[in-house]
Amino acid sequence: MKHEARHDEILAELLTGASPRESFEASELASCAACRELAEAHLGLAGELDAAGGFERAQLAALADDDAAIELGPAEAEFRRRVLRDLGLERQARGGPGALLGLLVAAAALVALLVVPKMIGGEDDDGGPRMGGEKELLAPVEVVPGETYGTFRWRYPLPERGWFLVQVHGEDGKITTSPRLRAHEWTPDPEEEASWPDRIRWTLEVYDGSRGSRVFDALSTSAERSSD
Amino acid sequence: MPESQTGRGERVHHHADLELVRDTLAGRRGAAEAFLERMSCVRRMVAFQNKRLGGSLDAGELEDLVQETLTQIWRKLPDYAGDGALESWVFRFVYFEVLARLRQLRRVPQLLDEVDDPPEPEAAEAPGAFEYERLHLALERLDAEAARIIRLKHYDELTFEDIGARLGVPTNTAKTRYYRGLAKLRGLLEARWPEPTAGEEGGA
Repeated sequence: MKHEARHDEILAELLTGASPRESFEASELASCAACRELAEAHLGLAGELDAAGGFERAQLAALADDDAAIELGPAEAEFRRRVLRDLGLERQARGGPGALLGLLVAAAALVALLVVPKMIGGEDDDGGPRMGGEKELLAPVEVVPGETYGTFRWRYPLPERGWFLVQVHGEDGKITTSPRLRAHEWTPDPEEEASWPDRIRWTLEVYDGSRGSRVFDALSTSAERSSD
Repeated sequence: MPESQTGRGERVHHHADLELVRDTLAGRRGAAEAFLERMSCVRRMVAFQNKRLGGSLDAGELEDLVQETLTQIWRKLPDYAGDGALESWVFRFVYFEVLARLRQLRRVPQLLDEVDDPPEPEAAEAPGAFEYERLHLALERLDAEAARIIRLKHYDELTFEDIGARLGVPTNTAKTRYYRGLAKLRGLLEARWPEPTAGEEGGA
């Protein structure tokens, strides 16, 4: 049988349906050489992926049964320092002689927070904006009136040869990532945005091109659009 | 490790782990501490894989590998989508980091040019270690959504109905994206590892 354009759609349907091999063999496409070649390639790769998935599950099961004693080492200690430093939590984690000074600094910060409530940026443990100064997420934050989230805007010093990325997440995971940006704002495609949920969390990531790495000082906040 | 499967094909979406990761990246202390605690699994995984692949890494090499793997995880953490338990996601990093390190130290066959060399005896007990690495590498090069759908289908054993529900798209859309994704993956695999022509079969 000679290959026809309509075969492509039928083949896709067969290969993503129940019992794909049997369905293919029982179909008229079984006598089309081009379709057979495609079907064999598809089913072969799908079989390999099934096997890879099975292998991974078996490895995880074996790992769960592994009860060898493990003692954490310097790598975890270094990782802990790095994570807390990147998140800006390092200073708060220190105890000992510096703890009292830390408390005084925290108290002063609290007073400043009460006196200057509009210095915002990021998100604190209550889900509200975090003190940011030169690093702030400006919009959208909290409830945004209207049917669109509008333009995403922020304040953040751009590293030399650096760029920004905006990551948008819904409840079920990542929705989209902006292109590399050097501007301090980004307007998503309105058509794409229309399919987003009414509540999102967005994160501003900052990359330093001269170091070729991400600056781990990302800011994140949530926003809700409301047409009420 | 949190339960990730309630029955064949019925996978739980790990909202709690996803929230943990998001809150960690948002700089919430409680979440960061919980995340750090969860990452203690990395050393266990590294030690486990090293043992299964021949146990040739010494203590110093293991220590370096744990540190490098944790760094990789931290760099990639924003990509975690909650499709499996955090530890399952971490496992992939560990697994292929160990393989890459062993390869770097030339203690396992190279991907392309040394496939005729037999692996170490103990490594030979885990043939999938090498067999599936090329799939992993190709999936890493595929666009994120296509790779996610393929993993949901074959690694997490979700039906297209479940995948559609997970992604918030109709079942047929999930099928179409999967089908196209698999074709792209095939293209990537063929581009990197071309099928031998008849004249080349059996050669080096």
